Amino acid sequence: MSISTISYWFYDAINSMKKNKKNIIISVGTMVTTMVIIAITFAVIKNASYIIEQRRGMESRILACAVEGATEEQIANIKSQLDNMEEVASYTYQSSADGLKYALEKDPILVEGLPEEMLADLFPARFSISFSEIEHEDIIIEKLRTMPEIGKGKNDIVAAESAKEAIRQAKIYQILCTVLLMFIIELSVVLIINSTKLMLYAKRKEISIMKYVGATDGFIKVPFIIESVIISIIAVIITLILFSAVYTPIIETIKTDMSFLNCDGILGSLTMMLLAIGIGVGVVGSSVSMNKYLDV
Amino acid sequence: MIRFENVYKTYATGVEAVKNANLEIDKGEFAFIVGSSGSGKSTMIKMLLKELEPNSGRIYINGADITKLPKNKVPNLRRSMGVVFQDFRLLEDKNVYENVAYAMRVIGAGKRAIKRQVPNVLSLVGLLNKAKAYPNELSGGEQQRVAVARAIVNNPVILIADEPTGNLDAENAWEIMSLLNDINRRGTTVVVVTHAKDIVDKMEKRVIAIDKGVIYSDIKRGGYINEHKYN
Repeated sequence: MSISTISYWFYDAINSMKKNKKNIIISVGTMVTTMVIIAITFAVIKNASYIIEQRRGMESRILACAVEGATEEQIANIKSQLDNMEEVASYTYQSSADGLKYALEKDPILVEGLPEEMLADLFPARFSISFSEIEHEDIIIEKLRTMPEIGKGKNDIVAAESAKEAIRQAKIYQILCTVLLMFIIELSVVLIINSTKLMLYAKRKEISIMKYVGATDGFIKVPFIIESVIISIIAVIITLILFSAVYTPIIETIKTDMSFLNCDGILGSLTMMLLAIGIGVGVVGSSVSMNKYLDV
Repeated sequence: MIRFENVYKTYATGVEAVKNANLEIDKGEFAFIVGSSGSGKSTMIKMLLKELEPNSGRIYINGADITKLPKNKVPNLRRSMGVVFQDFRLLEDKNVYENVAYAMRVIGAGKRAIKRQVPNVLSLVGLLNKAKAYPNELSGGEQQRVAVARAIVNNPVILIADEPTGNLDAENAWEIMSLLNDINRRGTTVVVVTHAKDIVDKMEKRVIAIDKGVIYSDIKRGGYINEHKYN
């Protein structure tokens, strides 16, 4: 393959694009439309991943209350067991008296006039247990439940700042959007194949002439593939311009209220993904669509 | 050079286009294949170009059986043959020079070779002064001359012309036939499919007549055969 052949392919592809402006505009428009939808879906997936990462990184806490009227020995037992739990990062202990003291300092009116027995019930001795791995939450709770020194009431063991639910929701969004992304990519392949078919239908006579003068299938395909790749690159550039012009300012505006959203680094990975999809779909689409016309 | 051995071709519709064709055209010969529409003459050409496969029989070009030729070798076969069609089949978005140069580009010819050869061929067909014109700016005769130039630019051993004068007036038709005759004199084997009786009579070349898929006459130097003679 000589340099003159390669330069001819590029010349031919660009020349053909100049002469088929209408078809090119339709093709670019189709690609931009699907790529914008892909970009939005991708942004949702990225944000869901970001939320999961962010939540995973946060230290979570479990509040566990000791049984009513727990003795010093029972408290020491709990401490000893917590010390031996490898899932526990750290813990703090608040006695019933400390709890009451804290409440009186914070809001004296709340506890004013209540009998002493009731106050003891309101502020049982409790442990605030911290852990860093979200998967450890269930294990710690399970272990706490087996400890006789820990209360068995409904509110005696509480996952105080659990990231579990947020992660679960983010994962659902992530899965749904991934399925949607796959569907849109498939749809864009069909759309692009169809618009390539239209372009090729207009050139079917030209292709048959090329075959008669002895052109190989590869020689005929290359300028069309180059054309598709150029169209894809144009579409990716337009999509990225549109996306960065809309997405970044929107996220920056609402970020103060929705701190879990993120726009850092999304353009880089989006560019790579759109280029891969665009070029891949362009190459595959034009090659597949051409086979029908090459059978001369 | 070209040999058909017991060639049969039946289309999927059941039409028997070619029946037991046996034929040999030697190197440097000029042969007409004549017959009415639907007689099977174009089917023979399509089989020569490997556009169609015979149902049975063998077709040899330069001693090689092309019925056994794999699909990826078909471009090589077509490069050894120049083809001219009734409807010219020029690339509309390419000018005369580019149309002719294209046939060289597909075989991987370099820029220098193209720059040297294309003007020579355009000069041979009398279109050097129209090198930059586009097909829609040319008359029918001129377009056919471009098609001839494209067919011979790679110095093929065989030139096949399928109804080359079908879309031309008498004067242009004769000019094209004279051009094909000149090309034949330079040593290229020329096979012309036609039903232009006056041209065939005037040229006094070999005439192979076909009707209903059967070759019923093969005269070394003759005129047009009555197409119903076989019946």
